[in-house]
Amino acid sequence: MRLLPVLGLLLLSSLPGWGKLPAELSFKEGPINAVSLERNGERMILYRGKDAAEAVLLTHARRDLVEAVRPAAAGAHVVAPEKSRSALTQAEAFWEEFWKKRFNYYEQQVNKVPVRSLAVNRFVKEGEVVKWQGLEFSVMETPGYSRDAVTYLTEIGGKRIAFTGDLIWEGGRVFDLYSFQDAIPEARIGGYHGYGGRFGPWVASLQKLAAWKPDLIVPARGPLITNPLGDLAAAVKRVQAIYKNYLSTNALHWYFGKERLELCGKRVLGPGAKVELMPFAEHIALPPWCRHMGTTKLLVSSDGHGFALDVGGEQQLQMLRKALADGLIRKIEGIWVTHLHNDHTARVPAAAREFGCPVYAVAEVADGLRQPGAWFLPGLIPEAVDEVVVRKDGEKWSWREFTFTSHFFPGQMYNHGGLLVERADHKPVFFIGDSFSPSGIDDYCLMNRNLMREDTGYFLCLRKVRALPPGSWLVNQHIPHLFRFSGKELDYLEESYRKRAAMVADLVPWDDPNYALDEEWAWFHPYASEARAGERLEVELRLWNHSPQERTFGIRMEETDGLKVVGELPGVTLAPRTTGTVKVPLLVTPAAGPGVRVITASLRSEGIAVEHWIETLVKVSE
Amino acid sequence: MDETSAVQLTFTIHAPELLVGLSEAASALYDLNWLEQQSDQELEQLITLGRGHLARRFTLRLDDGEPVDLAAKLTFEKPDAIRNGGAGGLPPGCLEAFLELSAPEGTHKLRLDHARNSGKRLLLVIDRPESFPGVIDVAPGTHAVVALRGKTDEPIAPEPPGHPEQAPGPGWMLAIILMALAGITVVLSKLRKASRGKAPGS
Repeated sequence: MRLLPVLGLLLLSSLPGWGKLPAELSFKEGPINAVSLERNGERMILYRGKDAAEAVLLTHARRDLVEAVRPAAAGAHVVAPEKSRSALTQAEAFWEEFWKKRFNYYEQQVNKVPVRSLAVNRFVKEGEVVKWQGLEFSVMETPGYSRDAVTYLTEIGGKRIAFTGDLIWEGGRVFDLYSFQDAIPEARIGGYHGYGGRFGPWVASLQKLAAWKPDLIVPARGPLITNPLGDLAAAVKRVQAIYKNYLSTNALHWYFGKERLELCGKRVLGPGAKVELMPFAEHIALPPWCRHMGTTKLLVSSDGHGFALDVGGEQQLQMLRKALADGLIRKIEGIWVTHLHNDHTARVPAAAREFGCPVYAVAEVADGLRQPGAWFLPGLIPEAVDEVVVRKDGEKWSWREFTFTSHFFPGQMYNHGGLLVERADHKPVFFIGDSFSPSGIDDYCLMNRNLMREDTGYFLCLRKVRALPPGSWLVNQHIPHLFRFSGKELDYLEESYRKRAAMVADLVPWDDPNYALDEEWAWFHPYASEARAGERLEVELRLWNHSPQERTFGIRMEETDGLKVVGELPGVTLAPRTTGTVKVPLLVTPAAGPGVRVITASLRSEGIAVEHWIETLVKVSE
Repeated sequence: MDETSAVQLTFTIHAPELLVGLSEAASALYDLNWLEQQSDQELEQLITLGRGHLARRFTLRLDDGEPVDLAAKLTFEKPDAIRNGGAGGLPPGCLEAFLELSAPEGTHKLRLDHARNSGKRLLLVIDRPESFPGVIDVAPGTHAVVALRGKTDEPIAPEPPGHPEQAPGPGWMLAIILMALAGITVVLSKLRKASRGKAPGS
C-alpha cells in the first residue's frame, strides 16, 4: 500500500509539462487551449476563456481563436497584433465584399477570419511591452503560419515562457500547410503560385524565438512544448526538407526560370543552399491539327471542323471567331473544359451560345461550371454554363477522325479532367490541362486541393500517365509543345512526391496529412446562397474522411444574427477515404436585415476538434 | 510584298505590376474599374513606367539593323481611351503600347531578343491572314526571328539542350502577336488584340 503514492507521483511527473508550469499559470488543452494567469486577484486570458478577465492577449486573428476569447473579452483590456487590426475591426465589411470577391479569386489567403469584429483596446507591434500585474510581456512578431501573428514573451518564477499562438505544435510540427500559401515578393511570385510562401518568414520566426531561449512554449493548440529548442529546430529542419523537395519537382521552373526558383529556395533553405530542379522533359512542336490559342487548344479535323479545349478569355474567343471567318474551320462542334480556373473558362458560356455547340467535362468539373457560385475555389467565374455533357472517367467517344477518352485527372486542381486524343497518323496525345509542365508538377496552390493520397491527386495522375499507350505525348493548355516524361523522370516525380507526402505527415499532427493540405476537407455546398428574410433554405455540409480508419463526425452550427438552424443535425459516419454529406436546413430569421450573413460550423471526431471551422454565406435581400 | 510596308507592334501591359508587387497586382482591387478611376496624371506615370519596362525586356531589330529605340518610339492611347478600356477585349488593368516600324523592300526578318532577367516566358504568336496563328515560345535570354517575306521563321536560340524544336508557321507574314506569360502582349503588324498570357491558373 505504501507504494501507491510513490507510483502516483512518478506517473504525474512523467506527464508533459508537469513541474514546468508556474503555479499562477493554468493550461487546459482543448480545440483551442484555455490558458489563464491569476495574479493579485486578477486574471489574464490567452486563447480561450469564458470567465471575466482583466486582460486578454490575442496572438493572431484566426476566427476560432477570436471566438474562443470573445466571452472573456467583454469588459477586458484586449491586446492584439497591429497586423490583425483589419480582420478584427472590419470583419463584417470583409464578408460583404467577399460576396463578390470570391469569384476570379487568386489571393489565396485562408478565409478563416472572424465573422464579427472584436473590440480591441491596444494593437501592438514588435518590441512593444504589455505590462500586467507586475509582469512584462514583450511582443515578438512571428509571422509564418499567419501573416499577423505575434508571440508574447514573459518570465514567471524564473521561467522564460513564450505564448506562441499557432506558430508551432508540440514535437516540431504545425497545424496545417495551406495556411502558409502566400506571395513571394523577392521572386515576384504571387499568392496563387506561392506554395509555402510564408515558410521563409516562418523559419525566421522559429529561429528568432529559439534565440530568445524559452524554457516553455504555451501554444494555442496541442500540448505544452517542454522542449522548445529541440522542437523549434525540428520544425525548421522538416519544413526545409519539404520545400527543397517541392522545388525539385516544380512545374514553375518551366514558366519562371531557375533564378526565380532559386530565390524562393534561399528564403527557406538559407543563402548557401543548393536548389535542385528537374531538367526539362523532352518537348517538340504541336502537330498541325492542334492549334495553340493562348490557353485554348483547337483541334482541327481533316475535313475542316474544329473542337476547342477551353475558351479562356475574350481574345481566345476572337481567335476562334477569326478562324471561322477566315474559313480555316467550318464549324466549332464542341468544347472540352479541362478545369475550373477562369483562364480556361471565362468565355466558355459565351462560346457555347455563339457556336451552338455542346460543352463537355468530367463530373468533377461539370458541377462547378453549372453552378460556380456554389463552390469556393481559386479562379471560379461567376457566369454559369447552361448545359454540360458529363463524360465519365475512362469513357471513349469519337469526334470526326479522332477518338477521345475522357479522364478524371485531379492534378493542378481536384476539379480537373484530361482528354486522351488519338488519331491514326499520330502518337496519342493526352491533354492534361494545367497539371504538368516539362519541368514537373503544378502543385503550387494548395487551395486547388492537391491531395497527397495514393488513391487520388497526383499519384492517380502519374498512374494514368504511366498507363498511356507507349510513346504518348502530353499537352498543357499554356504550353505550345508536346512533351513527355521518360520512365526515369516519372519515377523521379513519383518517388519525390511520395517522399514529400511522408515528410508532410511528420510535420503535422493529424492522423492523415491531407487534413493539413486540403482546406476543403469539410465545406458547404452551396458555399453561398441568396434568400429573403423569413425564408428557409438548405445547404449541404460535405465531409471528406481522409483518415485510414472509419470516422464519425459530429456537427454543431454556430448560429449568428439572422441565420438559425432548423432542428437537430445528425452526425455522419464515414468509411476510410470516403466522403459524405449532411443536410443543414437554415432559416433566415424574419428580423434579418439585408446584407451578407455568415454561419459557421464546428466539427468533432476522435482526435479532431475544430470550431467555427467552415462557413456558408447567405445574402439576404430586402 | 515588293514595297515598303509597315510593321505594327502592340504591347499589352498589366499596369498594376508597374506600381506594386506581383501579388498585390493580382488583387481584386485592380479590377475592371481600376484604370477607369485613374487621373490623367496617374495614367501618364503608368505610361512612363511602361516605356521603361518594355525597353528593358525587349530588343527589336529589322534584319541586322540597329536596335529600335523602344522607349522613344512607343505610343500609347489617350487617357480617355485608356479609361474607356482601350481597344476592347483586354484583361482588367491592362493597357496597350504601340510601335510602328517601316520595313522597306529587301527587309526580310524581324528579330526579337528577350532579356535574360525578364523572369517570364513569352509566347510569340504570328498571325497571318487566312491561316491559323503560329506560336514561338521565347524563353528569357533567347531570341526569335520572324520572316517578313516568304521565308520560314527561324527557331528560337539557344535551344534547350537535347530537345530541338521546330519554329511554327509558314513564311509569309502579316501579323504577329507576342504573348508574355505574365504581363506583356506584343502585336506586330495588322494586329488583333491578344490576351495577356499567364502562368497556369492565374
